Amino acid sequence: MTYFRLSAALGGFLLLATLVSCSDPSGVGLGVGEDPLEGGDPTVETVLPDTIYTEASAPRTGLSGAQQTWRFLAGAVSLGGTSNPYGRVQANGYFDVQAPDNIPTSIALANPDSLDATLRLQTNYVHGDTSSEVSFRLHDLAQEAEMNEATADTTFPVGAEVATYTRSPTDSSVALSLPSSWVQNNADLLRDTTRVGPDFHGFRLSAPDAEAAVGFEHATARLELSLAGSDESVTYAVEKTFSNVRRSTPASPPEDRLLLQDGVGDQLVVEWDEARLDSLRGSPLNRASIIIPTDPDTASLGESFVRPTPDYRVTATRETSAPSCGALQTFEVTSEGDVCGLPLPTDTPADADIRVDERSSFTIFERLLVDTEGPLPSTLSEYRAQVVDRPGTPQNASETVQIGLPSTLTTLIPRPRPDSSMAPRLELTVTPL
Amino acid sequence: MRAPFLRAVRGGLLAVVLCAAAGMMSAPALAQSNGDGTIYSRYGLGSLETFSSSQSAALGGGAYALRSLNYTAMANPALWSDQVFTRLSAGGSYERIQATRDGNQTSHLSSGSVESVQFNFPLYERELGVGLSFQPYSVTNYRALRTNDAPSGDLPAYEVDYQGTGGLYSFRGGLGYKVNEILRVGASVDVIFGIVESQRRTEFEVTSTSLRNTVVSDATRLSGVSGTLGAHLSFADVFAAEDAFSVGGAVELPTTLSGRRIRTLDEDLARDTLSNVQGDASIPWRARLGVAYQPNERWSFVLDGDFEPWSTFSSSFNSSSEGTFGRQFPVGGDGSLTDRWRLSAGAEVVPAGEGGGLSGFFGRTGYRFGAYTEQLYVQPNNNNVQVYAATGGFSLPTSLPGTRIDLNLRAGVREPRGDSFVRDVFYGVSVHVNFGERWFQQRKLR
Repeated sequence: MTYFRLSAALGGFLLLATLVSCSDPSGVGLGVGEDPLEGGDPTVETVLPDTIYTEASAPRTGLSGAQQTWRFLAGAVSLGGTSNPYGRVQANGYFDVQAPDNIPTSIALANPDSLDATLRLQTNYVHGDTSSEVSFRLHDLAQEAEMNEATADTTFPVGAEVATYTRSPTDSSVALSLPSSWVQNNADLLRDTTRVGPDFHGFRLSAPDAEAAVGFEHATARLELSLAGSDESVTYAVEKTFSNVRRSTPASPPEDRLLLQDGVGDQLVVEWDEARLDSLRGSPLNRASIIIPTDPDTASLGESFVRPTPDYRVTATRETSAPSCGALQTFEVTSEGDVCGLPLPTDTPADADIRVDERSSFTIFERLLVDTEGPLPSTLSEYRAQVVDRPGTPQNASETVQIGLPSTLTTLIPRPRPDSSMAPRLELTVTPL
Repeated sequence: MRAPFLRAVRGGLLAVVLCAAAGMMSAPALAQSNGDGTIYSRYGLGSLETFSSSQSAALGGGAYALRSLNYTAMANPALWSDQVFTRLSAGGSYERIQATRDGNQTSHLSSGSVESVQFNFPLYERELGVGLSFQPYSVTNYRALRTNDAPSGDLPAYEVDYQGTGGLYSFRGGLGYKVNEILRVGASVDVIFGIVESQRRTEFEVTSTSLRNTVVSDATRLSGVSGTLGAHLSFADVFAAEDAFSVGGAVELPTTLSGRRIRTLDEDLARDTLSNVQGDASIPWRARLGVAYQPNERWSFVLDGDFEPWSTFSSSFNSSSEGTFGRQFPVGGDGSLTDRWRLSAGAEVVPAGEGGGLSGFFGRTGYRFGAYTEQLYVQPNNNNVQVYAATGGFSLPTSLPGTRIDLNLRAGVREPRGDSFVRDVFYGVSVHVNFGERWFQQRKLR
């Protein structure tokens, strides 16, 4: 009996020490005393850029090898429609083919006069006015071109014009028949598989007078050599492609807008106001949002103007002694790790503002704000936003920092002004101490 | 016979020391008090605790002069000389508060806490005794909540939770000595340490990896050493034959607690330190005086008083209120404290008397009741807060001589003397287990 009572008492003792789940607190006590309980209300503090400009940095548009979604461009587009306020961009596509494993005997022994050569291309991109046809000009390349990893501002010397073709920019596939003179001149070269690689340099396809830029699928582009009057043919698959993109007419966007342009590589460069950030140090951070509003300005475009929806890519330079890109919830985009790619939400609707994934921006700016003394801690600087064209919806965050396909897409960015709601900005939700 | 005694001493010492070590190392909220308590614990060093023994708690919290076979009053070291049993006692309490302001806004708060762990044993029966205890010195456990259901912008609803946790502990050890049949004296060394922490937690209704809650904490870690001197006079046959009249008192010496005040962001392992300053706080002396009258072995009456001049308190942490520290320590500055005094009275009856070992269960049960009034040592906006409370309890005997289970009750009100302040109605219950065993002597049939 004694031990039962003692056990019950001990149980009661433990119950009392832990029975605390019945509180129903309220605001009672908030205003008590000379130093009442207050504060803790989150506020949104806006940090504007103290430096903002656009800078041309040509993207990589060359590719050697296989990639299903890659493309090369040919044509030209007047940006902003016929009034052309954002300049005119011209794209020249370069491609080279590789030798087949073998040449069918009937073709190898055929008279060159009985051979036909056709370039077969699949269209996977159109940007511009599709109401008029495009006049393509085909040139031989004068020498072997190092297209792989080449940036869009690169050019390669061309030889004689092979032919011109007029096609609709909306055609899903294009067959360009090469003239018989070209076939006769190149028949021996093409039928010697050991010479195709070093001696056949490829083509350039351009359309400087066009009103649309057309993209052709890298993986399916091919040169086909066939025997007239028979089904015999041999295919020369694409080896490498490249797109040269240049602005042929200067852009003149409105003064309150900055023009971002893929292809020519006009990208936005932003530095946040460090003095403003310094003033917020020590404030507990609830949320950090990097917001770059976009203005597609499609109002003046005609119905026949096709404008693929642009995607975006945001990178920033990793400062010396800053944590690794991974530690900042970003991705390394250079082998040196000096540039970090900031992930974007994968479910962003079309033509929405650019918003960096808030988990990343929180990590970056929490590090900046948590230290209250000394210079601002090293993190990232020179935030860069660029227009890109991705083959589909990114499936994960890492895909949003990868480079896009060659394109001529544009968007406008409002310049900062007193009404900060329409400016590139950093919104820090903080709980003041 | 000596070996069991030494084992018991080692066991008891281990229990008290382990509790002290756990208190030093664990999170203050776990060790001090779980749950929520009065808003007045936000001021000063928290709510001061006055626990002396479970018997004392039921008699109004005093009983500084009451001699007892079954209890050792830790508030007066002189009474530690009076021990017969080797004793280990521990207890916990649960308290519920209804806090009201302006008659319309109400909080219901509850908390549970360990009231004490004590270990005492006689070196020479009823002549020289040792006392060890580990118990809260002060408790900070306030809580208030503010919600914003419609914040501006795209922020979701949030609530701001203000919470106090932690407090100070007292680890006390000393000796009591019977000089003669009238005079007993005692002294103890009191180690005071702990962390007083206030938190402000902003929590959103909807959180995600991109919208984080924030927790800002101000923690003041303090430690220091004090001492207590006690004396007790007992007289027999004063007003009647076989009665006993006692006067007892103790003085806790003033001391200075030193430590650091640290402001942090976030919690647990993710804490970032925003500020860290060093300082100290002076603790005033504390005087206790009581009388006890036992007309026979069945009845005991006690009357006690406390006084602590907290108006002399000072803290160098006040000068560190700049920087990222939002407010002073203690809250409101030194001027927020005033002298504390306390009066209590109580009575106990054991129908069969303290030695009635052959009586029935109810005859051997102790029935206690008491009351006290106290002026808190905190005075927000110079408004004193007065406490009025009634106490009571039952002391249940067991078949083990010297071992009792105590069930104590209390109810009262903290009444501010000013408008627009919080009025607390509180009630609580506590359970204490007092193990007492003779380790030196042969058992005798009484």
